[in-house]
Amino acid sequence: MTIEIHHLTKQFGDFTAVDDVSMRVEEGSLTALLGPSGSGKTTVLRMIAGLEVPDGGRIVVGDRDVTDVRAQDRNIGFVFQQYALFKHMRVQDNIAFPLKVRKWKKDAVRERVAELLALLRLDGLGGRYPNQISGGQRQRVALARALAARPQVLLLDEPFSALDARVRDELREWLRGLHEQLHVTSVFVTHDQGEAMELADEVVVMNQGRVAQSGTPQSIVREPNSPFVMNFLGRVNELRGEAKHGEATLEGLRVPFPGANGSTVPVVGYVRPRCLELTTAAAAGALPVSVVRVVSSGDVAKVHLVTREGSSLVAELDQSALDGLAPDGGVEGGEFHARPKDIRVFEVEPAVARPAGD
Amino acid sequence: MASHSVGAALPSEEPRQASTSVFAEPAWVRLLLIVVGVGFLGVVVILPVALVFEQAFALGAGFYLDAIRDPDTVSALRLTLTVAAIVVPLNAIFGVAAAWAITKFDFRGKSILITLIDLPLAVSPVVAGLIYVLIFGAQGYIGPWMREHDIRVIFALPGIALATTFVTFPLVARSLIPVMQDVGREYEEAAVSLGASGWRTFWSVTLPQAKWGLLYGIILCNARAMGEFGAVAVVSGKITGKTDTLPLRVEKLDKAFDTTSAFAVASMLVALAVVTLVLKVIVEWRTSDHESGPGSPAREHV
Repeated sequence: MTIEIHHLTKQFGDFTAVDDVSMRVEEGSLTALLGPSGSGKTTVLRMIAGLEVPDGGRIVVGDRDVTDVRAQDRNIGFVFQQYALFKHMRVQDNIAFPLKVRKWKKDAVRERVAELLALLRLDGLGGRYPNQISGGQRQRVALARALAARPQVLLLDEPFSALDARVRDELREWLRGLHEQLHVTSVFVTHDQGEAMELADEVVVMNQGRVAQSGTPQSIVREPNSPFVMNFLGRVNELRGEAKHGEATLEGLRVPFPGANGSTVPVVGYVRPRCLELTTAAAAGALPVSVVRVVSSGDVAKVHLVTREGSSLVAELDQSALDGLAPDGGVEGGEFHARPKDIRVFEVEPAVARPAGD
Repeated sequence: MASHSVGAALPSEEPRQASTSVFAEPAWVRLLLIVVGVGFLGVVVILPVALVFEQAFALGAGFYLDAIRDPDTVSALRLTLTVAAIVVPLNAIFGVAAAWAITKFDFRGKSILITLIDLPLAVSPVVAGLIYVLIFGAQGYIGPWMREHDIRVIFALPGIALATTFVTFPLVARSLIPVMQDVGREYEEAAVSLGASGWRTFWSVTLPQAKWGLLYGIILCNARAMGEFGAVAVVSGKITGKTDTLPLRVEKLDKAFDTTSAFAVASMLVALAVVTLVLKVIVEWRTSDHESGPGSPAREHV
């Protein structure tokens, strides 16, 4: 089932949690709602499930407008952040709960529960209570329970946040595999951009209750549309300057900037640490810099630089490239030229000097 | 009882944990605390209870049996059990409803409701009894009308049940509210998202998770209902063989200098209390075998 969201809004008192959000989730896709805390992503998820009533806008699942349908009648699976397994029921009773509520026949319930226990690698755990199984197993029980009644849509709220790092990576891959097997339209909420990029077909980046950008993980990484998305996706270097007549000047560096016309506008350029090249000789499109400090962690070295105008930059280089720069080993304190391989320039908006969320 | 929450929360389980924890106190401190605890309990609870039985059997088992087989005593026992059988379910229903309303909804007058629930704990039971005499008594507001229609409340079972209900109604609500607040909305939201109606959610999810609070409240309510003296004394009229409850019967026998019979009847009250406690332990033991109660830390068994 597709999910269409039209102009959704939600206020909590004076706080606007969700502000005119529209998006479309394709049938069978795995979509991530990515954003910092307070960006409204969980509220959007809860409104799709019917656990929160929107102040405005429509939610359409498949061809049915569910905006005014009660949560229990939506047939949407929801996996809670802390799983919310019923402590007083055994694993099999937790999974059977949505089926018993729907008055399935006993045999059908037993069959479906056995099927889910096998699918989610929970064989032999049906008779345990939730406090007798591990965190990863609990998450799979929560998934099994949410999937039991064959929901049209599966929603997951921060599905991996309660697990430790090793289990998390394992479960991520496994969840991706499960999704490919089942093809239930799924939406998950996360604040971890790595998780979103690794798992999702589509990513919706949210900020301050609005959609900042949406698209495939690749398109968002390659073409961030705003300083916020740029910042949120990982560490960036900032170079400030001005633009006029289709060209930006950032600390002496000239970069094409088609957005600028005759009048001068303040701009900021963003360069990822991986996209800064260091050379010994001056080159076109390179800034003179001095090396302040080198922090090496095996294969990759972080080189802290300072420009002539005093801006601090960080470049991430392969250790071999760094060794090539100064064969005698003395990079720190040396003078080099830094050339951005990829730089993205945005006009500085007067109100938002520095985007929130980083 | 070794591996579950309710058991684990009991002080008797603590010493083993304490010896390995960073909070381990010197041996003499632990000894002192145990001696003080056990000693105090002994003087204040165990000794008097033992004395009750000692006095009850002072004139031999034959006398004891005669005392408790006395028709007036049997009638008092029957009345006490009847009152408990009326009052406890009534207050359980009220307590669940009140706790549900207070913990799950926001409404006008919520703080007033909470205060009103506490009122009987603040008012002397005698006053509670007098309130009903004032309403239903011969000179009361609707007493004369009721007498015309031959409805008896005061000096009869309805009056005793009403007074007892008044005195005990905070107990279930008060023990449920903190537990239900603890359970958290998440479980109910989970049930609803899985397709359960509000009613189903309440019976399958909310109530089972709060059952310890409910059970504790019911036990407290039952104990108080069987033992209530003040309020009942005012409304019952103390008609021997008709409106005497066990506590009233004890007092009456004591006043008549029939001390041994008084203690024999008192021992029945103690026995009822013991039965209640044993029931509580059995229920705990049966249900806590596999699960932890709400609020207890979940254990990992990987």
